[in-house]
Amino acid sequence: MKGNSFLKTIKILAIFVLAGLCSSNAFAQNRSISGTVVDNQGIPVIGASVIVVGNSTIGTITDLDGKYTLSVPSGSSISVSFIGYETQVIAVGNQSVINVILSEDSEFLEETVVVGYGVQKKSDLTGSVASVNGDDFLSRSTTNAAAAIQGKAAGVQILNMSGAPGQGSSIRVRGYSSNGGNLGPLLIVDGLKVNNIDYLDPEMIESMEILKDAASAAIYGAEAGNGVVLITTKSGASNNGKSSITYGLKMTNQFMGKVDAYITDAQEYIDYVRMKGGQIDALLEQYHYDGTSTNWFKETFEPSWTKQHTLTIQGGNNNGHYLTSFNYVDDNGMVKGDYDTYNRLGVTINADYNIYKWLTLGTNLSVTNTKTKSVSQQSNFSSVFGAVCQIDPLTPFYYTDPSQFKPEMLNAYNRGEHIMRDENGWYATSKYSDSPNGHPFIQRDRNKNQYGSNLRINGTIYANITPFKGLVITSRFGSRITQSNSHNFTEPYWGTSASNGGFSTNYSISANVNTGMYYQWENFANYNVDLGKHSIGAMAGMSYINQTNDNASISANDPDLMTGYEPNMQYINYIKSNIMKTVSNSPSRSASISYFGRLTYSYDNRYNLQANFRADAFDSSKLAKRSRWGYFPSFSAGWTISNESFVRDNISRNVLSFLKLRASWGRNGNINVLNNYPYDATLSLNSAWFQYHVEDGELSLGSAPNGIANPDLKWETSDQVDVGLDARLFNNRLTFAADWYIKDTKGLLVSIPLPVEVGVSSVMKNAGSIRNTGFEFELGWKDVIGEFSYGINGNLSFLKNKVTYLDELAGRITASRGGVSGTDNPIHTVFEEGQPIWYFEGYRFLGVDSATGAAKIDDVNKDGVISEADMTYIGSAFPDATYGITLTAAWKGFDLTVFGTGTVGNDIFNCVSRAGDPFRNGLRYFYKNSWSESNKNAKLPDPRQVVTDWHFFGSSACLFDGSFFKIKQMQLGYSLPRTILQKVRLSNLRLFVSLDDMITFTKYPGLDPETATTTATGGMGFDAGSYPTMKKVLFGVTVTL
Amino acid sequence: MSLGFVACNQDLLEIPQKGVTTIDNFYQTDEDAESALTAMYANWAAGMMTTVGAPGNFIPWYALFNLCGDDFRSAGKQYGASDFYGELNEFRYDSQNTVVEPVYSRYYSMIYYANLVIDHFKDGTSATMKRCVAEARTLRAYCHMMLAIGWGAAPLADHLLGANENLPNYEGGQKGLLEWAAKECEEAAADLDERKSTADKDGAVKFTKGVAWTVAGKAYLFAGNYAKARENLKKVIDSGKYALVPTERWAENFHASGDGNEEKILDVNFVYTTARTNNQLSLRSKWQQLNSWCWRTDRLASFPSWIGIAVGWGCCAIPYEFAQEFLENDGDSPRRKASFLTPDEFMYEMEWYAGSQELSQEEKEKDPKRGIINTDGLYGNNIYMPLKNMPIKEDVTNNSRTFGYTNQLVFRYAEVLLMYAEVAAVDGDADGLGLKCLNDIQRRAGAPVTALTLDNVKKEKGFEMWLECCRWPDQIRWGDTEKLKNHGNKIPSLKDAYFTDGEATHRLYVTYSYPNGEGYSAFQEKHKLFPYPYSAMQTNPNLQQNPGWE
Repeated sequence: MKGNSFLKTIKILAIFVLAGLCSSNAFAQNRSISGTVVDNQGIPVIGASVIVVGNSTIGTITDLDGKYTLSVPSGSSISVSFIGYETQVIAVGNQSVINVILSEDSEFLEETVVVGYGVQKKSDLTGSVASVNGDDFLSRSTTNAAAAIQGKAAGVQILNMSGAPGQGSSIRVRGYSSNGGNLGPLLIVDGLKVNNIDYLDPEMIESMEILKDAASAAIYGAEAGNGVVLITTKSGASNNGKSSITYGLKMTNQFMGKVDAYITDAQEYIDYVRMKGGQIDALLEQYHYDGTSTNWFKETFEPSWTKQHTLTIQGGNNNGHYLTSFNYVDDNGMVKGDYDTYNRLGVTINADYNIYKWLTLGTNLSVTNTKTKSVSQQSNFSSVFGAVCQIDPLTPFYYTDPSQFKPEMLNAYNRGEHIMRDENGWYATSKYSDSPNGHPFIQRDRNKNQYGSNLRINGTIYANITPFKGLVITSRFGSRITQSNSHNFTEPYWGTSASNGGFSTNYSISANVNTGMYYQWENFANYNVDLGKHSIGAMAGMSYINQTNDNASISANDPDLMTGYEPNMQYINYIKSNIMKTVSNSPSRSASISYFGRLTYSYDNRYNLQANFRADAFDSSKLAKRSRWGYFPSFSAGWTISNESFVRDNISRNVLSFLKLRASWGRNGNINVLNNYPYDATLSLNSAWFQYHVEDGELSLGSAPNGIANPDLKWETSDQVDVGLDARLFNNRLTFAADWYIKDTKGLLVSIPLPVEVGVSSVMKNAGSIRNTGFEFELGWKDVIGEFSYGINGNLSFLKNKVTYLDELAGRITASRGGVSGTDNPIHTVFEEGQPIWYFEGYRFLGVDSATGAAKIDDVNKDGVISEADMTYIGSAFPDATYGITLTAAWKGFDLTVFGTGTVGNDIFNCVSRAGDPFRNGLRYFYKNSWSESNKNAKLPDPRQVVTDWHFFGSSACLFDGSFFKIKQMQLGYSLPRTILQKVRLSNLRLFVSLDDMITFTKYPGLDPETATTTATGGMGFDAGSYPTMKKVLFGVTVTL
Repeated sequence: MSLGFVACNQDLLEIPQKGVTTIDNFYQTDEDAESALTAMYANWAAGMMTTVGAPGNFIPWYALFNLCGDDFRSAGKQYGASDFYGELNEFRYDSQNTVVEPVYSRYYSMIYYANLVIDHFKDGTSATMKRCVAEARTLRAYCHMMLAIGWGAAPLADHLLGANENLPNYEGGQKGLLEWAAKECEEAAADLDERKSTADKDGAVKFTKGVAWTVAGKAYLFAGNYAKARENLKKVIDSGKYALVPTERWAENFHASGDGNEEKILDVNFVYTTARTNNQLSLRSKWQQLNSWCWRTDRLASFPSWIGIAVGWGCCAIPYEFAQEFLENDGDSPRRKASFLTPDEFMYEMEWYAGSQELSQEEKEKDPKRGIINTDGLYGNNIYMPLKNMPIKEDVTNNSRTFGYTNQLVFRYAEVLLMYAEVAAVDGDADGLGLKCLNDIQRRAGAPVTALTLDNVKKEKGFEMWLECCRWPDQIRWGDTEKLKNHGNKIPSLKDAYFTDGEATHRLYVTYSYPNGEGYSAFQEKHKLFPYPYSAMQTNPNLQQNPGWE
């Protein structure tokens, strides 16, 4: 629809331009000229336009041999142009034969786009591909490659589930097309399929292409149902063969943004507990409350630093290029002490070389080692963030003497329980509230010796063989070697007497070692031939993938676990010999075989057609033999309207440089949902145990089926139609792209809850469908005014998502109650036909009876009582729209980037505030907006009346608009003038300062709407206390030698 | 290139699954029958003992059949703590209550595992196969009996169900389902082992003839078929394989030392073993129940050393009226003293800490290391402190104080005797066996001996079988629901004036709160049956909800 009005605008413009141009039509004496137009290599250019300058009504195009003849007024000049070539203007003078050699427009040629198993000119694309340039990844404070594309491409949503150091981001392409957790796109880095891109230094990325529509992605078949992300890392080639050494340093100071989302003031807390009817005054007297008012956020967090060093050496010549880079990240999060840290050391070596004219060899290698320590969040029990949100401000951060202890704490202390402390004192247990999370430092310290490390070696080597012109045969071998280790050692502790997570009397220890070996071998051939106006391309190939994993783990727990407890004894080796250990090891392998092909045809640079096909077969751990093969076709077409003569003859290229309409249909699959022989119900051998003897407890082992089989299981299939329009106007200063798509995903794997009486809870079936539809817009403007250049890029995506079918046996699927385990909150999300996926189902809060302060809950079924039957749609965690805006400006040596991104229309359910204990702390919002005798027009009811009311705390009163706009980056840089640099033999020196994630516009009263979610399936939008995005001040320098 | 195309052989995609075998090769031999039966027992043990599946339900079936009775008060930290208990106890629950749901689904899960044995080996000819099928049938009958008691005409799952099979409510109604269960047991009994003797502990942790007769007797009794109930219960009595433990060992029935003793007909067996990890073991142990049944020791001035668990959750209190009646009947009988403590017993006779008994009464009265130190007191408790199910040292291993390794009691001989006494009181006691049964219980308890009347049996069963899943179903069966109306109305908190008001000596007193509103009236007609869980109603369109819960 937007496209239509856009077309209208173009028409009006065209009429205007035509009128202007035609008015200067003049009559003069004519002379005949002729000639041949060829390219640099002497090949005729077919269809090049030859036009009289100043009179575009006089012109022609070259024929199949590149020849033309034209009658022109004497004294005129001709303009010879062809798309992709630099336009030449030649004065006719006395010449009657004018031969023209067109040289390729280098700027235009560079606009190629990486597609599966090949490269295409952007102008030839018939599918929907978002391309993010490496410049967008430079000088960012984020250490994560996925996070760096947030807000940069329409139709691509980045989910940051946590702001903690080293936490990866999730990518969603065109919505949510599965009911399960496997919604991420296929990730391919330099031709190598990878599990995640957390290991990549964003600065190493040359470009990132997101294949959004099914036609583009179909070449990846059964794995492409959630889109494909192709990443090309820097190779040294773009440096034009110049050698350079670049060093970059980024120092980021990061800190907690919001410290008053929860009640942090003692007087407010006391007041609120009184409002809830908690008998706090007696307690204040009993414990001789001394006026303590602790802001737990300020005590738990402190500003910290992230350091990033990058050293890049690159060079090359006509025959080859190389690039090697070292990257080091040392990120220490805002929790006091070194408990949330991320360290990464990465080395990249990329090289290519033309051995012979017909043979190019290349290699990409990246070696990364990471180590991550993290603190707990998003849990009802045992979470640092749960603790800091729920504890009361009356409690001091430390007790310095046992006489200050709460009686239970003193009892525990006298019993010899492990009361945690540091050099400042004992971590104080509240005398007032009894949250199972206890003191945040208890949750921090419990797992202080927990860490995970990952070594990844990713490499590809390839050979391109060109036996004759037009044919390139590629053989590419890629491998990933992964080695990951994790260690954990947990001490007993006493935090509160709460039943879950309040205390533990056990030590526990665990260690895991995983080694993985993945390789893929791909062989494919690209053949391109131009026959006059006909351009034909073909590609065919095959791939074999093999992956093996070998994991071993060991763990044990016991109150009397180790032979010693000093830090140097906290290893598996020193477990007491009589302790039962859990050990596991079961090597696994998976494999797949694929054949794929592509045909492209274009006529006269106006009409493009493309067809893709892929056949995939997966191993028996995923699919039964009889349903092993899947076939994935796609078709697409493009019409470059701007190359039609009726446009070219009538509209100046300076006004409309490029206009293309494209449409595609394709089919993809999602195989990620199938793992571990899901179609098979076999006998679980001797895994059940029972003791028939009272005295000795000897074990007897038994076997039973592990479920009910469904051998017909298949992958999920997505069919997608995409219609798009690309335009460049005003000398390419304005770029515009719009896409509309409709994506139907069928065969969702649904765990069909069986009738309870069957005795087996569920069976897996392909029994659901989702429809995602959306509009995507990208609009860019760039211009140069003297020494001042600037640009604006914006993108906007609308998304609608609906479950279109769900097997009636499944009825409706509800995710875990309360969003996080262990809460009695009745709120849950539901997957149900006719609704958006995983919508929030809860009670509808209608407001407050201003006379009594009572909460009004919607009695949906009008039966006079509020019961679970009254739970209904109250919102959805998925945004209606996401957008991003980037402003850039440069003047002399200064550069400025301001970048923001946001969402519209998503909801967040805050489950920190809850029914039950009136002493538990919660969102300040609830205190500020509650009914009281003096505030009868309040939004929220009398706290006393709802203090134990799960209907209220499971209602829309706790659901908030999660829309936000966050200014992710405000960066100012200054590059020193060359005149100064040359004196110190530097080619570039740039200093920059940036304020990242500094300003968030939102109505959400909790910490950070962006990270306020759990990662569980159906757990989107539940905030149980999550690690917010830290605010950051970044100082950086880049020096190039 | 061509090399690439040829290289791929589809055999590369054949990856055998580890740790499994095909179902087709199983269910053939005697060994397979034993193995399938063991899987059934494993599932039964998990379902009867653990918390798997839903948060914080402790032992759901045990909670469900105790919590609604007039002999129980949901207590704990405060109103709303462990609210799934409070919801049941105060009749505030609905079909999503996290105790109701898992009990229902676990019974059907147990039935599924039983049906795996029955359907695959029902035509088996060997003695082993016949016994395995008989054990599975008895377990299946037990589950259906409990379903009938709880839900009425629950669906009858007498075969392995297909994935899409939606059973309707049992057409014969509650009574019919009870009688079906009873008949199953009668038929199965022939192929079952019999407990070897009263000393045969292993014979008390599996489905034996004694269990089958007990289930049959109980099911017939609940169906009102006294003749058949008498016939089956008498078989248990006549078998001579069971006996009441002597008075001084009465309390042992509820602790680890009583596992499989002569009075036990069926225990869910669980023995600490180093062959499984603590985590695996905890999923079989009743540690959450031990915690919930243990006092809130964190609110006491010291930690009585004989208690097995450091900090209990204090979810169980004994209602004042019931305790008072018990005390008036039993006085200081050993049974009463092992069931609950009077204020003086709690404050002065109990050992609070090593050496606490050596103080004089005067010193004890001023002893700061005893009493209820927390000024909120013990929510839900009145002046009597429950003791029967308190975890003591022997109930937990020295390996971990919070892990319980006591068997879960399902049936003991005392219940059989009391059921027989009831049958005799209603249906005649020509040979005097009914009176003997009643009097044997009374004598053993140290309580007064009475005549055989239904009222006396009711009273005796209430005291003897307190917190053994009898009182609530009996009250519904007998129509004695008057007292249930007070549930959740006036909630006591037990406090110690020595700490709350700074009095010179200890003094226990009770304050009351009305969290459900004053004059709250709990029990309604619909509560006679539990609602079919929300999840069951969602998945089975043929299931008819119970009256009042629609």
